[in-house]
Amino acid sequence: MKLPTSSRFLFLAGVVVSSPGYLDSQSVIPQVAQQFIASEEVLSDLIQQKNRLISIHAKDRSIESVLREILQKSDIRLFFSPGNPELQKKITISLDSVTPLDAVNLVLRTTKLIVGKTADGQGLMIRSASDTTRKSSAVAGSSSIVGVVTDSSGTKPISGVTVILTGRNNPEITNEQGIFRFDNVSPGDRQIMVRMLGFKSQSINILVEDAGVATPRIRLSASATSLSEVVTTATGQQRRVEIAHDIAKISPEKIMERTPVRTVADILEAAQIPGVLVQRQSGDPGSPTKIRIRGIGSISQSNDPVVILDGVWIDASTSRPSKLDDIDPASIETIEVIRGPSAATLFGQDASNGVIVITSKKGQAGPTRWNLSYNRDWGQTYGSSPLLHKALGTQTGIQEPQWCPIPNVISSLCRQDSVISIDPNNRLFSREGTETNNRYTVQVDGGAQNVTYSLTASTGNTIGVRRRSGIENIRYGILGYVPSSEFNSPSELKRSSLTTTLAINPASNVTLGLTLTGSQSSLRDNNLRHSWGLSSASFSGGLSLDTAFYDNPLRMSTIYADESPLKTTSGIISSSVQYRPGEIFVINGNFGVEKTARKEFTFSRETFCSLNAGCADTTGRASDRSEDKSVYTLRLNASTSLNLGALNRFLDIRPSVGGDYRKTDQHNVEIYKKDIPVGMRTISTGNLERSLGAIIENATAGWYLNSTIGLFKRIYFDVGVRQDVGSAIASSKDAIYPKIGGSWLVSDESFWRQNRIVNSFRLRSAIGHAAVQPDMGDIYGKYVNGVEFIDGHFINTADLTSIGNQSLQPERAVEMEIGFDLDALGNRLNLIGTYAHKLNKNTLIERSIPSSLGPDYFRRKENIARVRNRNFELSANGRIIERKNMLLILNYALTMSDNIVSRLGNGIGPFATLSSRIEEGYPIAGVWTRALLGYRDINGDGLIGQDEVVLSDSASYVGWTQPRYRASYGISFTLNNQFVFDSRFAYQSRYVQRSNRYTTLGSEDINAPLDQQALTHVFSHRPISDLRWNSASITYHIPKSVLARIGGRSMSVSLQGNNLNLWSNYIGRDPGVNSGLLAIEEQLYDDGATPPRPRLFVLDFKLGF
Amino acid sequence: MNNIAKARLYSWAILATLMLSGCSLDNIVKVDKPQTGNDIEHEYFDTREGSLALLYSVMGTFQEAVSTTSREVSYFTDELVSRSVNSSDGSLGDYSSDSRFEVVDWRGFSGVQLSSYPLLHTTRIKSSHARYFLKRQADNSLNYAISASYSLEGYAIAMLAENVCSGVPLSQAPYGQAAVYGRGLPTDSLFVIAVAKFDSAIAIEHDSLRFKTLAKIGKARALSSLGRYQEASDVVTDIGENEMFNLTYTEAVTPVTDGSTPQPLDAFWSMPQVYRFSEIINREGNNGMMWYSNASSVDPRVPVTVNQVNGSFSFPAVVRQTKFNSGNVVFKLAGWPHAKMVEAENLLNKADPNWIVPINDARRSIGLNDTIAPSSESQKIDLLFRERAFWFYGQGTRLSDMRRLVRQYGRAVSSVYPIGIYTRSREVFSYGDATVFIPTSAEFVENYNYDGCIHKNP
Repeated sequence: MKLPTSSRFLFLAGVVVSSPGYLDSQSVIPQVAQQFIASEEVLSDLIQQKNRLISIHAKDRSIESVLREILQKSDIRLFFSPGNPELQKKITISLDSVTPLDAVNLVLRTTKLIVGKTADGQGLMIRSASDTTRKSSAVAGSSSIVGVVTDSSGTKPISGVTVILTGRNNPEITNEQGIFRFDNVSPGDRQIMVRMLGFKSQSINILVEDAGVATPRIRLSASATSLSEVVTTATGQQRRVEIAHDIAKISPEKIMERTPVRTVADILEAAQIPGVLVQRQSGDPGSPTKIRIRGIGSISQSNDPVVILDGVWIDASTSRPSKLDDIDPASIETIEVIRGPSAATLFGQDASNGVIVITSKKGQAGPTRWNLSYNRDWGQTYGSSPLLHKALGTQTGIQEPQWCPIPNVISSLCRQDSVISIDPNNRLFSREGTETNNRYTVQVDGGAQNVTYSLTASTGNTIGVRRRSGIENIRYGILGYVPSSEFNSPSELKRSSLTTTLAINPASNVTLGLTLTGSQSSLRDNNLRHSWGLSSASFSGGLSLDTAFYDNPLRMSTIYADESPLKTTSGIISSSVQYRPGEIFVINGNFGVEKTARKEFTFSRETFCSLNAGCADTTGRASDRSEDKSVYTLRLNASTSLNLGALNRFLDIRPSVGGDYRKTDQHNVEIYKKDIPVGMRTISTGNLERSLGAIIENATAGWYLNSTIGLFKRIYFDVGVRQDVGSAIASSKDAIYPKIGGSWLVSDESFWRQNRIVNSFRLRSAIGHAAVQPDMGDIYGKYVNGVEFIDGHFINTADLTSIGNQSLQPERAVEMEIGFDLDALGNRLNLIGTYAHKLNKNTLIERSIPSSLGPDYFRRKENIARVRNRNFELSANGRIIERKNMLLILNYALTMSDNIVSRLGNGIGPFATLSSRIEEGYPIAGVWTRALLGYRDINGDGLIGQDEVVLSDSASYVGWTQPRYRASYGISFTLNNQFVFDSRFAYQSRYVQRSNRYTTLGSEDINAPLDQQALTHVFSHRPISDLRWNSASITYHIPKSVLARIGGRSMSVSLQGNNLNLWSNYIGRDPGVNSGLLAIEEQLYDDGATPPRPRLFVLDFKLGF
Repeated sequence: MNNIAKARLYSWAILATLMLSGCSLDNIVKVDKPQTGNDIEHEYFDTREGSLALLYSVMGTFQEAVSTTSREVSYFTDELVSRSVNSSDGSLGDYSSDSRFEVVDWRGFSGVQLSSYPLLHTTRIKSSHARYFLKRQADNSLNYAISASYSLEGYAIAMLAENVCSGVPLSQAPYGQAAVYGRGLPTDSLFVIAVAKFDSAIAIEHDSLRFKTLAKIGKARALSSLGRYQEASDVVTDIGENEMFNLTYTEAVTPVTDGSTPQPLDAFWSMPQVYRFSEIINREGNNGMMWYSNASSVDPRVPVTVNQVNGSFSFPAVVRQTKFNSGNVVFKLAGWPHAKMVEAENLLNKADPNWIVPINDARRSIGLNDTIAPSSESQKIDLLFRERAFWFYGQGTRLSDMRRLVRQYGRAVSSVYPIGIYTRSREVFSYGDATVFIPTSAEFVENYNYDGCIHKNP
């Protein structure tokens, strides 16, 4: 477009000497104007010369009076026109330790005036930029374009903007005052393009007169480009465009608006981040989740990512209830998921599995704001179980009634009389009830300019789906057994948490932060945990209450009553300090402590019941286990920007140096008692059965150097190196971890043709090393208490049980990732794609030692394997419809991953585990099994025994327990800013799960078809594909006009559904539930022993005022 | 200096500190109790009580190793064989590991594995750890324990040499140091190393006669296997009749921490006495001992019970040993009878006509009549080794003696080891031609420095 003449050529008339001794305006204007144009870059020299720092504090004062104060406090010469209307504007400003030039610029920010240098180069003068250019054009004698780029308000100059003059190869970058210039411009209509990440690009037509100066003033409006987002790195906050790897940033608050969320794991699952897999252990309340980022690389060490809360390292190891889930989602501002070693190098030891950075909500200055929320869930499991069968018969010889499955018939141990069948879905036999959850959250924040606060408190309890079956109740009634309250109650989790954050600015360049988080959870399991399978798989497993009921309901039985309440109390203190001695220098420090106390008490008693004698308790057993753990974290970091003078126009170097220290103290005590008298339930009674104790103490430390190097504001290199030491591994060259990455904002290049389709396009690539440390126990030998009969006496001994391995090195992960970020269609479409290749070198494998060092159980770890992971991740977010009253957003995320043991040590054969094995050329979490090749009833007895099936000689590979393909889809529709509809789906395929849900007919009924009998001799593993309807919600936001009448700020009501349905070829309830906790990720899900995730419906109410 | 300059100074100071601390970061991360969940803190070992606890563990492991070795050696050397009697009482049956020196292809490693092989090595490794801490106590009253640690290590090495094919590796795992996987050593080298261990034990001054006896008999045992009879005899000359190092015959127990009563886990006595699977058979494989003639002529050194089996089939009487009749019976690992046998062997090899005197001295000590020295050299050797077999019955020496008969006395394998056929479960089998055990499979699989047996000759 062409600017109107009136705006292109404005002339400022007056520059008046403000005090005696200064230059007369009339005589100096031409000279000053000439110098003004020519010396923008020289201003920096002036800053250097006049680097005396001043402080200005003004409230509702005129700009002119503030300028006079600046004159008084500095030794600069400043010229301006007293009485100028612009200078009479009232401002309030508070400046500390700034240069006089900065002060003047800041004071003039709200005006149309700018500051330049006088002709003699020794003073400053204030005038309109357009006047200046107009005047200069007549003098300079050559055409130029000198412009200013500001934000949309026109008051804040924007530096670093790329300005491209059509026909020229080298773009210009705006300086700190937002000014750019092109000299020797051919007169006529010229076009410039202005680009800045985070702002909408503009293309402007300008008329350049012969020997004139065009002075466009360009206002940029912000756009929602993803690359301008600020994300967290080990060295501090950076714009996404400056870092070479992908970081996913999540706002839990937004997710909680549409999805039932109770835990951090729920948020991560709902966020559907490519490359991040959230695996459930079971559908029980408090059940932990395994979070795997870009696959699994370690065979014997943890694959858990590092979790950092407000700068403090959090122990998020998998335990129940999950420590990670003790963090209240409502208290979280953002969660950032940093994927892979290339990104996580500088986060230190054990970061090779990725890092999850959690930032608590900080208060906002202003009046106190309250947010209240309440939600209530109802949930039930879904899916049906096949019929269960039970064979009854009589024992050979003594004619005793007993369970008589086919193998026993074949062995002539019994004669089968009948087969009973039950439908476990029948209410009489089902152990599954309704899950309920209530949760209350209160949040308040506010504060003044220098102190802000935030407080989040929540409490809730979840009643699990486990119930005692109706048939058991009937049976207890017959036996006259009155269960205790613990025995009656379903499993339950109560969890409360309180998070307080405080941010203080004691000075303009100092920020102090404090976060206090406390949580308490109480998890109660009971005997139902142990008997979950009675009505399903273990129904066929022996003489249980159920079978005795069918066999003879009056038969004397034993009831095992167990309870195991587990209480966890944890507290996290995180303190931070940020000191900014200069605009270009920042020092950050974090110190924090995480303390956790877990106490688990278990009590079990047997009760014998018979019709004649009734029920009688026997002595009981109890255990008291406690764990006290403290993790101390100290992190320091200093960053600066190098002052390179004129080079700063195209070169930006920001080095950082930092270090961290972490120490863990853990004390475990376990006491087991037996012979607890009837009527007593405490650990203080009974006889000591055994006691165990352990102290675990270790520390790690590391330091790093890192630098970001920016070229032309569009090419960035990120180079760093870190060294780690630990209690287990001393410093060595092997513990040095480098990283390097590059980010190229291609769309800011001059050759990139500006168009309406692609708004920004970036290519990036990074490579980095990171490590997971071996445990100290892997390095040093282990001794345990023992006893020997020596010289006629039992004598306590110290028994060596492991020789350790003093040669162990950390597992080293090397990851290369390459990817792109693309914003298109007016930033309405965002695409992010990444390919990551991760190689775990020196992977630790526990293997037997030679017998010349001890027995087989003296196992030790060795760095002998290599594991490769490959991931392709793609996410797409599109604002398909974006109108005033309508918004339709679609999300899509895709992950393709594989894993392979690329090398074992020379001559080392495969390592077999329960149902998995480690073998070159196959994934580390692969499932192996012997296949059923055929069967034949050789002896013609109509039964298939073990010797009548033909199995493959060795186990063969069936598949991987991790999904190779994962995709998620989301749709969100907002109408009139009041109604929000949201729904999410997740697809997983090509993974293997073992199901115990094969029919029991083949193992029980002698009349079962032979093929069913044959199948009972092999495990049932099969590749699975499934589509899960993860969530759906409808939310209504009360209009603000209504809220205004009642004094509210926001109010919403939401009906949400979670885990709504599952379409799968899996023969069972839920293949996504993984009850295995093994380090090698075996999925040994047992449908009979583990409840699936329930389908939840949630009513959510939020009120803010 | 303005703030920016100060900041730069600080940053460089931090950088310099971190760089310097790169050398000393190891100190930062040192912890007081580098524990990993062990029941026992390592500091405990650095006490008198702790270091002795380590030694007791060595003794326990050695007891278990020796008892297992004894059982196996006995099964394969006619001291105790398994004979299945298919009777209606069902109390007799096969002992599944009875390989009887058949040629066995065991996971590609031809031979029968010695199950106590890792236990004997564990004895070595633990001995070195115990000794490390015992010495650190600088307490002369612990000298006997240090001596014992050498002796037990020496015994473990000697027994490996006696029972396993040539080429046993002595892998090392010193306390707190990296393990070194050993290469196979010839049998004679093992005996030489064992002698050196015993020398170390003998050189330590202490006043415990039983531990001195342990060291001396052990050294003599190793020297005899090397054919250095005079040196062996010299070592044991001053051992008195009452000097003895007893060993509790196999008592492996469950950990004390659970408070339960320790239970015998595996013992020579358990198979015949508890499980009643095995019995003594005269002239096993033609070359075996005549352990008894009838119930009235049982040698007190190998007491037996003779029971007639009632069953569907007519079988000879079942003979069970009663020397080891409980899980914690004590036997004499090293003592005066051992010394007497060493003296006799030395005299025999010197063609001294008094060679029979030590043998009869020993016999008389338990009320046996003197035996008459035969005239032929071959018969003399037979008598000596018969006496050794009876004295050390069930104590894991017979296989070594059989090997020595071939190696040192020129006997043919076919005249020493069982030959021909034998019957088990009414099936007929042939004795194999193996003369030694081989290491357990983990040695073949896991030790990259191990190349297998150098040879399997006696």
